[in-house]
Amino acid sequence: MASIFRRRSWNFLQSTVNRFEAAKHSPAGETNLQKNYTIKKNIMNHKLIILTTVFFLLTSFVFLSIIERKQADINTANVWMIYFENPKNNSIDFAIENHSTSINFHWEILTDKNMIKEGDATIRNGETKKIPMIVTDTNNKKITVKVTSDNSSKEIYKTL
Amino acid sequence: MLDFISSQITFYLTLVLVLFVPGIFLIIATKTYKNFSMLELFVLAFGSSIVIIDFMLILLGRFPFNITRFSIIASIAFFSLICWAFHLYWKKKTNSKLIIQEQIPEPKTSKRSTLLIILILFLTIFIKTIYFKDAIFPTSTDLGHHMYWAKSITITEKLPIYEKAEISIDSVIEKPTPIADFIIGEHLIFAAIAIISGIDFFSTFPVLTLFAIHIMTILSVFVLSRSLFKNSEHSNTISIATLLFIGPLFAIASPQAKFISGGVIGNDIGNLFIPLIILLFFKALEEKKSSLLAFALFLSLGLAYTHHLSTFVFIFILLFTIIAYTALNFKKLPKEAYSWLKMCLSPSVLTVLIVGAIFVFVLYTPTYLNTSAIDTAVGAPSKSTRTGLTLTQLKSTAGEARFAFAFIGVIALFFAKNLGKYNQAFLLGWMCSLVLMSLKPDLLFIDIPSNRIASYVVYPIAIIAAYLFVTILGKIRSETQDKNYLRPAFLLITFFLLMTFVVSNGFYDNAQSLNAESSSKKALQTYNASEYLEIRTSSDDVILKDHNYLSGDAWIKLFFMRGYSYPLSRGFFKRYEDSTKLREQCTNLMISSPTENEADKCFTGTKTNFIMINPKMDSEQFYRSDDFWQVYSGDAVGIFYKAQ
Repeated sequence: MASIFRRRSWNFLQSTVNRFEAAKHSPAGETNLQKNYTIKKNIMNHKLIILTTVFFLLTSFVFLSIIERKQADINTANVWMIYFENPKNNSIDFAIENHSTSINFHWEILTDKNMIKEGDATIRNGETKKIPMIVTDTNNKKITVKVTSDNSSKEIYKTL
Repeated sequence: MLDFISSQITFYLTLVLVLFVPGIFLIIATKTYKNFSMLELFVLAFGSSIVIIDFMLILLGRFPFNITRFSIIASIAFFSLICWAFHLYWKKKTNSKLIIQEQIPEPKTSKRSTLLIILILFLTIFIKTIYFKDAIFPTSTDLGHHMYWAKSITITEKLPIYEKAEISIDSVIEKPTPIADFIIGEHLIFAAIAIISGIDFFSTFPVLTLFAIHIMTILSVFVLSRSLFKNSEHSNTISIATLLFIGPLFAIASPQAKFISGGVIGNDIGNLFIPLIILLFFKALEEKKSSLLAFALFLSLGLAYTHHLSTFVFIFILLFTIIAYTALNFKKLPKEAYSWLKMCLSPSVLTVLIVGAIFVFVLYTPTYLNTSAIDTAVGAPSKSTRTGLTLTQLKSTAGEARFAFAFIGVIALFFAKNLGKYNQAFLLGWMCSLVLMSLKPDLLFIDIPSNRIASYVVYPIAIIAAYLFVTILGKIRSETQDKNYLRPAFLLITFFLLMTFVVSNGFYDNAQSLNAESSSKKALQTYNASEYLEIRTSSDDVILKDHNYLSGDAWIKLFFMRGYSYPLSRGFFKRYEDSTKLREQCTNLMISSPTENEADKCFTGTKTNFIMINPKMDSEQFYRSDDFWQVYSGDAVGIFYKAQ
């Protein structure tokens, strides 16, 4: 096995030397070798350009994906919102959805600007608190839910 | 975190599968790898993959196969197998090996040139990444509209029917009618990526895909300039200067990064195809190879299925190239025309033409191929925005430094010797057609917004500006004649002065175009409100939203997927004052003056019962009325319900 390998290696080396010798003594052969070398170098350089471009793009893609992931997280937007659980019917059940740094919320129920109920809620960032509400004597009255937290307030209302 | 990593890996693998694999196999099957350098093959594989995927999905949609993950992957595998079988057949027949760039006498790329190219590419990607940092979150209007159609393919697993419902003069929502503004090729590639990878549309995927297309566009302009100036002693320098002019300089303004984040998909893909098709036409004519002409026609067909304006522009580029060639080589024309005809009548070209005709007339006719759309684009300019740009406006679109060099460069090109007959013709035809279409559209009977056409001019301008830039420096330092017209110190100063002019101008333009901050915070609130309504409404409810003051409002329709015109939208105010066309007023009245009788008629006719607005701009008029309940309140979005 080892002798076969040695013989084959020797033959390969011999043929390579012969090719180079032939090229050295023939102007045409020399040009061909040079041409092949230049083409291979060109291919290598092109491969390098392609690989580095792909690498730069991939790095940029990963970086932008991480940035977008942070931007898409509403919990980093420092906002909160309130809404009626059912927008179409007469229910006054409402929810406070918190994506801000505030955690203390105060709510009031007003009937035509008169406060009839109030309460406090502690809501952490990323949490939503549903607050069921029963209000009597609502006929032809504007029922307003007013929520305040820190220095901002928001209102929603229904005229029943 | 693991979810994020796995979704990233799936997305990148999908990009390789969709945007490279089909093109690579087509190139192997058609033996075109023998005619191109490695870099050229890289961009050609990318461009042809987009066209193959388009046609593949059209076939899947037309035959009783749904467009699913399995059917797309199976189609790509089947196509690749057929291509490989072709390759084996050719190999057996001709006993040839798969060797790229076997006999190409193309410009040599030295080690220093390679490093410089890599450095410019790094700068290009870096500057654009800095811009995208604040524009990566999906909010832009055009992208939202396009992604609706792409998402509809993923949901229905069928080709989309491009229709929208308008509000009539009688304030009633009419039945949906066909629209010619959207073209199937703009959406199929995004649908394929979304279906295979399962990635959400509200992610980086649409912008990143367009970013990849854009970088390929820059590379294709680079390889094209290498080919066009291959007979010049400065070919390498010209192509590197082109890369500099189109890459890091003027990197953000339209049609560069702004078009990517803005989601101007048709233009972005069109800008990739045009240089690729010119490269193929150029090589086909120069080397008299019908297979390359067939390849060029194949990509042209892909362009026609992707963007009408780019196709229209390309037809003019081709016409002007023929005119330029005729003017420069009048005596040789009859002989050349005969060889062109011979190439056109070859089996490969005829096959592409026949397959193209079957696609257009039998399988899927592009939506814009109807009389009304053609009438809209052709004829005397109908609006002030279509009567042509001034030279100053064109200069600002093209970039001052690039424009200055290119302006003189065109004159220098006329007198250029030894560039090659086709090289000169393509460069002059490309440049002159776009400049004329932008400045004097009435001469060519074109009725298209002039600034849209002008956005195409930056590519030939970059190449020709680079040509003049290098020629000036080459002329004052003539290596071949071994003499300098300037002393070396002055030569160095001249070089630095020219570079300073170009680089400062290009980077100033970049600085002007950067965003102050991301609009994601406001858009997130819009999306939160949309989710609220999506859960609590049905298709019987009609929602109206405002386009003027809501951020990311075009993406609201992706939450509902109840039709392209759902929810209704109050457009820009100037739209309602259009003197050339009678416009419906309901969408404006129902928000601006909801308590008036006209608005009431609109509410009854359209059955609108939910209104989404920016509370800081539009809540007062609703607050005054008992007919409306405010049911949702956020900082940037308020929702009102019409109770009576």
